[in-house]
Amino acid sequence: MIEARALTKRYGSKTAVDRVDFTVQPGKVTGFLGPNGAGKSTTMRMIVGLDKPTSGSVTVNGKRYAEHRSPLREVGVLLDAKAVHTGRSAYHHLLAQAATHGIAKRRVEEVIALTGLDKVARKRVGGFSLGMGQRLGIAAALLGDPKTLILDEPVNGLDPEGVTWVRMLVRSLAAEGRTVLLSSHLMSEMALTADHIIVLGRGQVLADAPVQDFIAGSGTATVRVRTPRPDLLAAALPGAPGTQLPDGAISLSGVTAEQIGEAAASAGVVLHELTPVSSSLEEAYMTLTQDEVEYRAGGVPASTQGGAR
Amino acid sequence: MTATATASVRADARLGFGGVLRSEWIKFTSLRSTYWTSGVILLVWIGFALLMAGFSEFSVQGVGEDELRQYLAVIPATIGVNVGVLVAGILGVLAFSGEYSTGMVRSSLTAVPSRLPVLAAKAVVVFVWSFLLGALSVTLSFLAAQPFFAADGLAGAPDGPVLLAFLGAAVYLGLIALFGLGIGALVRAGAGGIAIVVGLIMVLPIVGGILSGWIDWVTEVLAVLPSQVGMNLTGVEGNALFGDPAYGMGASLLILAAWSAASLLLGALALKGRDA
Repeated sequence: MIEARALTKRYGSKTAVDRVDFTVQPGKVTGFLGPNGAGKSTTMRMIVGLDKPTSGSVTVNGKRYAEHRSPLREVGVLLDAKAVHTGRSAYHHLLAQAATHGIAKRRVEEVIALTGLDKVARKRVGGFSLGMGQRLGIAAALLGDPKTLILDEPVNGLDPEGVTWVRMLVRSLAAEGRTVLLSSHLMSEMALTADHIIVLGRGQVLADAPVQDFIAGSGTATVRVRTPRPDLLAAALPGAPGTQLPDGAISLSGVTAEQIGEAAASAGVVLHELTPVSSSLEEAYMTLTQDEVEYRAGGVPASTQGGAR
Repeated sequence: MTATATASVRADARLGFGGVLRSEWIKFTSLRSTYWTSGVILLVWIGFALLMAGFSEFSVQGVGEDELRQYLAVIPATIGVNVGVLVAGILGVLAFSGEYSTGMVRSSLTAVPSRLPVLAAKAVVVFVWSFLLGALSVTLSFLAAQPFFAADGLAGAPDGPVLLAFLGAAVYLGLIALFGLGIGALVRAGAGGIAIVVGLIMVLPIVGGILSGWIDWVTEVLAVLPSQVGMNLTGVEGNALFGDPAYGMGASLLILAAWSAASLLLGALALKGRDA
């Protein structure tokens, strides 16, 4: 269990994390979402004591991270940036981390096998691909068999097999009753992996809810309707804006399929199709964060005029 | 079987200073740069001894044979320490700045969130390694230089004061490595840390030497610089051939240790206080 209370981090005049409150529950995978610069990584760094909160507090299983007698057995963490000396082999990196807690060499070999690093474990980390670096980071996080896992962008750079593996891994860790906090920008993957979602935007909590509630509550669900008399249906449903779809159907938002069916029946309008279309996590997320994006791409640049001929 | 195969993590596995020390030893000895820099120190040190013993003319008058014998034993064997401390200081800086430049520090401080044991363990490892390296270098240099003096009947086993000078050279190397370690923790950047260490050991004595002709108190400052008190440790007290330094061996050791302690203290404050 991770508990943040009025957690705040300021860098000079910039507030990266602004009085954030949340609780990450054990036994679930909690997805940590938010645009770049929303404060996710800073929050994660504060959880494990790398950054000191300006004010407020964050605890893991009731204590500040640094107060635990065996920190690596409480929390395993994979941070977004590489945290390994490039001149050292993966094996020696893990061995040195394990030594601090008196964790046996056998466990090092175990996590190497578990993350599929056997062939490269003795090579220097400087030559690792992004995916191999991620696997090493996950191996290090698992080293202490921790009760809580914090993984910042763990699937970044992994191949599809690796992405699936991470999903299965975190699902099974949560099923064992562990606490898992996971950030990712891959919404489709997050939808498959997470039970609960916390969304940050500009350092504040924008949403904290089970995934299904989050999607349902976003108001982005629509209903697909086909009718020979769209004009009469629109008149019967004044509060529901409709969009004409390319195949002739109409997409209605803000009403349920039941409301449409009843309105159509009392107006005597024939319906040829009435299909609820649930929205995706990505749509729900985009709707929520569209005004909170800190760094937005400036659109697609126009092609250069009058280039060299 | 669970996904994490938990069998091998014992329930009593716990963070402790012994473990942190083992961890830092593994870290230090699993980097190629450790062996490169150590090899450079060893080779340069022995090379200086051979050059000095083989090609220098020693012209001494009015001293006894014992003094001369001590001088010929100590000077070639310890002359290399002047270059050795530069490299050892850099080795010390890199032992900490390398953690920041690679991001390794985030792993280190996640494993040891109280932070200061990391610096303390590194200090033990860096000092012990540098001390032993200095002891090995001075011994091999002595053995390499002695044959050149055998023809004049001036070779022989080292006496007590000579062994003390050898010990002093090894301590000098170890303390400068500690000084570098503290600077590395303080400034975090390898280039900046190396500039400070080289500046203090090599550049400042030269600049001070030039200025001392005009400004009186510069001489007193020069006498307490690490390179001066360090050199005092490699001399033989009471032997006129080694001159008459402002501070004796005991005082010199304290002053040099104070430099290292001050550097480590500043490094500790930075490590504890700043975000990683």
